Amino acid sequence: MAVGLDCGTSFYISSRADLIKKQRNAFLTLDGEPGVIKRMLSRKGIPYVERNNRTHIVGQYAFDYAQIFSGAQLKRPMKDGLLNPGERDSLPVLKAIIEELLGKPESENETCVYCVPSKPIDRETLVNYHEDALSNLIESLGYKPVSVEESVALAYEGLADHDLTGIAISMGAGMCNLCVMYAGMPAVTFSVARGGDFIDTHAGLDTGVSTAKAQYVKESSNLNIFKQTDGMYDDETEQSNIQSALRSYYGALIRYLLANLRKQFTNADDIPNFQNPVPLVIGGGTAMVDGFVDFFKVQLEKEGLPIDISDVILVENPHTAVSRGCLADALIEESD
Amino acid sequence: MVQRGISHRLTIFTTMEFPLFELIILSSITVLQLFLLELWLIKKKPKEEHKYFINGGTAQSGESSPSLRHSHPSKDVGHIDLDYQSKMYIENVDSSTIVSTQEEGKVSTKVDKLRELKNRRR
Repeated sequence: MAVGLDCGTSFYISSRADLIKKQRNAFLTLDGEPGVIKRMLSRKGIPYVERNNRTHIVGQYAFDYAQIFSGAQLKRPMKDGLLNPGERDSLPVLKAIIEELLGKPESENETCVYCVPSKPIDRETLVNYHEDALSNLIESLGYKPVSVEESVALAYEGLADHDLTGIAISMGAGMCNLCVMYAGMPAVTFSVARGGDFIDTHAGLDTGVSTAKAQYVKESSNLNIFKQTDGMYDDETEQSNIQSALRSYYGALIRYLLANLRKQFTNADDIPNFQNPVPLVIGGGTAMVDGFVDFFKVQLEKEGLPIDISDVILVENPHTAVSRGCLADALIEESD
Repeated sequence: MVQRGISHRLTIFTTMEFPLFELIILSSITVLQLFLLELWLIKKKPKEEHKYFINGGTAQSGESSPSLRHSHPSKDVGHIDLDYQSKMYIENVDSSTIVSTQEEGKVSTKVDKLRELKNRRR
């Protein structure tokens, strides 16, 4: 058998033929006597890991805890799609998260296809260290690690019904990854170092709330970014202000993506000349907000692209699409 | 007038009893001989062999070396082969207390479609 692993900034998601597992990629360090803290967490059934006499709450519980206690600082093992250089405990925490998600390999050297971001065009950074670190982590658990670019994994899921021809955009928390594919061959792949975190950070700054609070409103409220703004400001609650800011920054992010995609079409030599209109498929957690596709279409109409787009499609179950694309690639890899 | 003046002076110079002219001629010939000898010696000297080889490459002399190093190292000076593929050390953390969200049931993928596309292109 085989397993696919989406290594996202916000979530790690593993897929097997009959099981999908998700873990929020976050942790929170608790100060105090480790023995007392561990007993307390065990009684409450809260997951934690211990390292160097420090206790970390890991995953969704850390995220929830940070909402309740505004003074608690949520830590992220990854930042902007890559390993967080400012977080010294990130690798051990990631190892624990991956170990729990993958479990023991079902066969010797079971293939694990994991996704890595493409090289960002708006940041002076490479992805090699990130790729190697994840490869080592996965290999240390007894798997055969194989990497695939995130946007290509999404294309395997979203463009399979379109002869693997079109544009795939994976909108994650730290980055957005883009791929222009023709007949299964990626012509151009790149990423931009903006994603859902960019939206949360700026919406939080502009409305005077924490980033975690803005993220919480984005994920749990009845936000519809396509909904007209009429009446939105009548109810001047904190939540409606945050929603309004979120909508603005969704627009800014989509326009930024389209402008960079247009630039690639204008400047790159490798862009194929599509003879017919091609689909544009979108996946990733940032695209899950209500009204996203309609809102994207409006921005696309305003910005335009130098090729004809037949349709803008939100891939089925956008949150797990990259992980399922990794699984499909792993199954083919194992059968070859 | 001028030509006549120069030839007159040369006649005086070559015919004078003073051995200065002979000395100049002899010393010039000696310098020329030394210069030619030096040139001949340089040409005859064998070329120095290259002492550095890279990863088993064969040098001009046919000698080979397994790594980048000097062929005549000083005594007690060894070399280190760096293993660039070495695994990084990541501390183990007990993951048994972590719980993830799970969705059981057949996971939908496009693997059959991908296989079909792959076979069609073969």
